[in-house]
Amino acid sequence: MIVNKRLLLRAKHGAFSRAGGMKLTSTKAAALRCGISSMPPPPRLFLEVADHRSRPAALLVKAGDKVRKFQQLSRTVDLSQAPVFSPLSATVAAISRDAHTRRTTIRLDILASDENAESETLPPLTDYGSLTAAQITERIAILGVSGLGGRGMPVAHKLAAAKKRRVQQLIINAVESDPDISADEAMIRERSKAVVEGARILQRASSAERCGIAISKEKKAAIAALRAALAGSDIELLILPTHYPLGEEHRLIYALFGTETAPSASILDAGFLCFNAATAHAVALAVNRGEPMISRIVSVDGPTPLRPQNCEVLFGTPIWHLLEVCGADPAQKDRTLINGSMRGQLLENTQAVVHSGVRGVRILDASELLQSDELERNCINCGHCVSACPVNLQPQALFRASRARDTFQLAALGLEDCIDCGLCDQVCPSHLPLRDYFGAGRSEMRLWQGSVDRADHFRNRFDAHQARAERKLRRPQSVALAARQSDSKTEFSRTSAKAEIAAAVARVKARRAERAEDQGSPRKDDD
Amino acid sequence: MPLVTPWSRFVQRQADSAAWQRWTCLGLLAPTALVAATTDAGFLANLLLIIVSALAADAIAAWLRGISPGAVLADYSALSFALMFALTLAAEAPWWLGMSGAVFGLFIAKQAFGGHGEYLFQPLAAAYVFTRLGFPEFSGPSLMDTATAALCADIPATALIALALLTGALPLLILKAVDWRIPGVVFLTLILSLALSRSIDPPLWAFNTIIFTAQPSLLLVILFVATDPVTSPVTARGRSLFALLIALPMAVGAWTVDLTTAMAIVLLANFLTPLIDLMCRPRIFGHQNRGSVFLD
Repeated sequence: MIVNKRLLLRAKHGAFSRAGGMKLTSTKAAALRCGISSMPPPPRLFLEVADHRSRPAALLVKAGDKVRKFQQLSRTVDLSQAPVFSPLSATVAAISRDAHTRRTTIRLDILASDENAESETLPPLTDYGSLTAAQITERIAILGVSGLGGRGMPVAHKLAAAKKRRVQQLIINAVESDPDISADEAMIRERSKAVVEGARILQRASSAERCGIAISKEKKAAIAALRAALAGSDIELLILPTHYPLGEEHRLIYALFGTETAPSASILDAGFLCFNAATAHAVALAVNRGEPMISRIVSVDGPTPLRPQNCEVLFGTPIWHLLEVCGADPAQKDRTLINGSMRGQLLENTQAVVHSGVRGVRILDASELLQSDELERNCINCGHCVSACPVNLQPQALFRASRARDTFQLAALGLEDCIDCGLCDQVCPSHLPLRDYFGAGRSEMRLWQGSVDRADHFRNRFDAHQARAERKLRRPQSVALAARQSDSKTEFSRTSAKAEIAAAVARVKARRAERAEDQGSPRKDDD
Repeated sequence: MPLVTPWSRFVQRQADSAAWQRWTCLGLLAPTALVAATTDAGFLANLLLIIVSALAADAIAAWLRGISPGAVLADYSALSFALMFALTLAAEAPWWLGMSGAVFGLFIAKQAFGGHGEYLFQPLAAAYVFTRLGFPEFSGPSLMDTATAALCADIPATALIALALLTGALPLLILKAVDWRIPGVVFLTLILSLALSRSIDPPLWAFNTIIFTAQPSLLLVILFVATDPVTSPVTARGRSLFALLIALPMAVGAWTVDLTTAMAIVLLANFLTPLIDLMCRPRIFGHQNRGSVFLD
């Protein structure tokens, strides 16, 4: 184990402390007082399967089926989507698809029986060292491991993208700089060995030259656990100061290595690969034990009577059920935030469930609510947001452009590079909901980009059509004549025509059958 | 039932733009009281008239624009405008001059440009220059500078007013409501020019620069008008450049600079603010250059 002390030094005097960001008051202590608590299984689970491109998800079960723990419920077309597994033995009560959100929900009624089912998909493994990188990636893909850092991208998808490029540095991100989420920290305290194991597996799978676990220095217990687990290993422990939003991968890489990477670009281009610590843990479970990903640790925080804690929650558990189990007051549930107060969203869907992207749930205290006389005022150009922005954007200008729906200006001001950290929102003296404005600006940009793409597509089609027509016109007379003659030479025969038609019909039928088997949908893919 | 919005837990404990304006008004109370004590009751009557007409102009303009007048008045910007504007008036100003200035400042310079936060020219500077250019016959030095009646035995009233203005601006600087760079760079430039000029012509320059910087009306311009965040650039570098643009003509003009000139200098600097913002826009993290140029 190598502890990089230089980093701390650089962190004190280095460039990144000047480039925005902030030290925030942490409220993690309450949830970290006790260890990870496991939640009793809820009576019902609602597993969501997103559409793949324009196709509804390919399900392997139908309503009324009995499924066992770890049974695979959906199939995927490529690596960009992870399959879904049943977290417990259950009955499939209903399957419904929401055309608006383009998600299929599988309702599972939990059976009170066999808890200790084994993975059906893959047997446990004694030594992953015998596998090649591609085999490890395949195993991860089959077991549906997704990133647990918030975006929920399938790990195998990221690894496949990394395969095409040379990864110099793999980073296991345990920084968790949000002030009120402590899920990773609680996990590392108890399961540091599995995290380190996951880091090794990921290093092997990505063929990274170096691997480091990044963590901020205030997580003392977690650092001690990691030190113990890392003894004798060549994985680096990268200790960073407490600073928000250092957990964001582009900021993290800048703080660690001084390499600036544009937040709108992938860090892979610079030779870095980053996974969340909880993801590394899930990878270790999947590769070594053959367990698909069915649960995650969620940080629950809020005012009394809620008991702040870190809970291991099965995917598909309704968030309100989780809050009830943790003792939340039902009257307060309408002010629930998902994923922390800085980057989070207000929970408006009462049926929302825990999935791989839910890191923390937080009920806001009455004193943390903005009152009606503190609502949005005019932007006065004070510049606090400009000095707070860790990526040097100009939030006040972005706000005006978003309000004016000026997509050119939004693009020029670099909205794509916004990391959505919420610091501008926090410092704004006029209480402008800047993150909301930027969200609206982003969708405006998407619409604009869509219309541009559509226009390009049809322009290209038209140009191609024109070119074809022109070629036809310009075709030399002799060639055209020869073609006509060769057409007339082949004599029309009733039998050969019949045979051709029959062959074509058979081809179409075969293709249809194949597609129906593959997708369970007759719709034609339009990409 | 009041509308309650759940929001970031940190927002509440953080800065509040209405509180900044309240602090501005509070900071102006002491200088106003000192001026009132050294002049006759006419000043107080004038002050009242200006406050009433400023609030009325702001509310009517808001109503015309279809915005709730209550919400516009609640940010205290009209009140702070009125307090400052009353201080800048000359002794011989008739009652309607202050009123028309207030109406011009809030109706034209502020609300016609889109209200608080959107105006291009500082309303106070615009209103002041308007009254000076429109009615040059009443363009004497402001009441602050002519306060002669001694309040204490040895200290002149103007020095006391200057001190009160400095103290009044202190909370704004501490709260970061105004950027310290603007008064900082202006004072630094003036001190440097003093040091430079002392070496050229010691007696004359030294005396004049000290008198010049202690002038309450110029302090008002430097501390309260030039620092208005709405009309100053948004980045730290831009603000320093902006302050330099204000300070250099003042340093060169030295003792010939009076309130009118100072206000005009601020107006000219406001004129350049969008350009400065464009020139000083920061390089986005991870990008090589500052991106394409887009003017609003």
